[in-house]
Amino acid sequence: MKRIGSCVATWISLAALSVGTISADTQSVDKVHSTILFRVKHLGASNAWGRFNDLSGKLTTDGDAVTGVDIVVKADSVDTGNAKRDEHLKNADFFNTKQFPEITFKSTKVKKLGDDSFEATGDLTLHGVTKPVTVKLTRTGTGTNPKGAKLSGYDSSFSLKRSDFGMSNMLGGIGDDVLLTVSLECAAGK
Amino acid sequence: MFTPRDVIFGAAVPALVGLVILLAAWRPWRAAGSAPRGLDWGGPLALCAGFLAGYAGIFSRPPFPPLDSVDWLFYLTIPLAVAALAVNTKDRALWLVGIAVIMEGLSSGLLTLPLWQHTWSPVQGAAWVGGLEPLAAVTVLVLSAVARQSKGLPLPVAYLVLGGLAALTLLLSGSQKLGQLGGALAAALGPVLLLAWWSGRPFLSRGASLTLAILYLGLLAAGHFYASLTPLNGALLAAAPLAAGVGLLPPLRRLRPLFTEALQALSVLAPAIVAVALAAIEFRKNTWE
Repeated sequence: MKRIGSCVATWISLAALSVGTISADTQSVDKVHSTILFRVKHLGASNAWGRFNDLSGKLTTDGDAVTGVDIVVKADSVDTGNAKRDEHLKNADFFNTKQFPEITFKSTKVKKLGDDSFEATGDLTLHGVTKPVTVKLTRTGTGTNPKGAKLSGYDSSFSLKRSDFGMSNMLGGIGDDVLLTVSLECAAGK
Repeated sequence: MFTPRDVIFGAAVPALVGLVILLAAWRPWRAAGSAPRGLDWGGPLALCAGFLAGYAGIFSRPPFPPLDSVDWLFYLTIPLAVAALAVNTKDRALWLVGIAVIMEGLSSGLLTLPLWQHTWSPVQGAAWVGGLEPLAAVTVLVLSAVARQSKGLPLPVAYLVLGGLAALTLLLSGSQKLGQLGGALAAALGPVLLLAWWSGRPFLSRGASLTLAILYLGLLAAGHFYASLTPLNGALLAAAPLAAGVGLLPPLRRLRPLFTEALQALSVLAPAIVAVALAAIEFRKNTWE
């Protein structure tokens, strides 16, 4: 009798899992067509821009609604167009990429604000410090790639203080406020 | 990119804190006959306190446990001060070597913890830490031996300049933080060397040699692992304090003391000057700030 009960429980669990898979889709971030830019003040004068070249992750959706965001960025892919400056950014003065190789965002809650806009609350881990952040996510469009996979694009822009994440060096010259602009292209079925 | 605060806490405060501790340890205003032996234990305390004051003044006290492993240097200074005082209690080379190996193991182990987790194989990690330990032991032995032998000013001044050159090399190797910490260490070293020389004591006691060697090698290791200090520049700077050991060789010991000491001073400075020059050439290839 016990064995039959166990079998039924397993069957119910598998069925529930398969139902979940059907109703919630997972989309992979296409790193070639996705971008993360950052902007920071330099010596109080100009805005210096940079990007991260290596990101990956996935979005989960339920129908039209985004239900989860999970992004991983390789910190040593930082690129400001100047190899020496990139080296400095990777060093212990800033990202310390040997100790903190990844920057991650993992949503804990996604709220639908409108047809194409969402608010994702989650944990951002940068320089080994995890802090909750809330970001707005706008769906920029949908399409189909040559392989027939459904595509969707999302934009987000938000600011943070690097000192909140323990990156407090050279605050006199390099600004504390960092603007991040994220553009993701996600492909279903990968 | 240095603020007045950086200059005050990176140079003036470490030197001042070191000076106050040394004067309190020596108490030269006491009646004649009071031996300046207090400088022997005052030296390592002045180095540690000056370095800590500079560190906290420029960067504020890091959290415990530190976020960046480089910041272990801050907390390492406390057991290092205790170890330095313990070293001074016995005049035995084995005692000095044993404590140096333990402190270097602690220092390099803490500094490289993330590399063990993310980058190194166990063999690589063991090779690095195992290599740094004998280097630290030899550095401590050479520093304390040449300090006992030295009577003139050239060698203490050479070590002081070496501290400044090492800080400059770290700065040019992509880490303002490590450069400033190197500067704070050099600033704290200034009164230690000069007061000891002035009082006729060895310019570095065994405890001060230990403190200096562990912090100096810690900064170089951090510069290589977490900044862009090249292996060649790291090796040149690590070899520089050892180069004064030429003065311990029998042929040179027979020369006039001032000549020997000048030669030792040049031996200390030459590799450091080469390191700074190489780092400066690399830096100038592509200035970005």
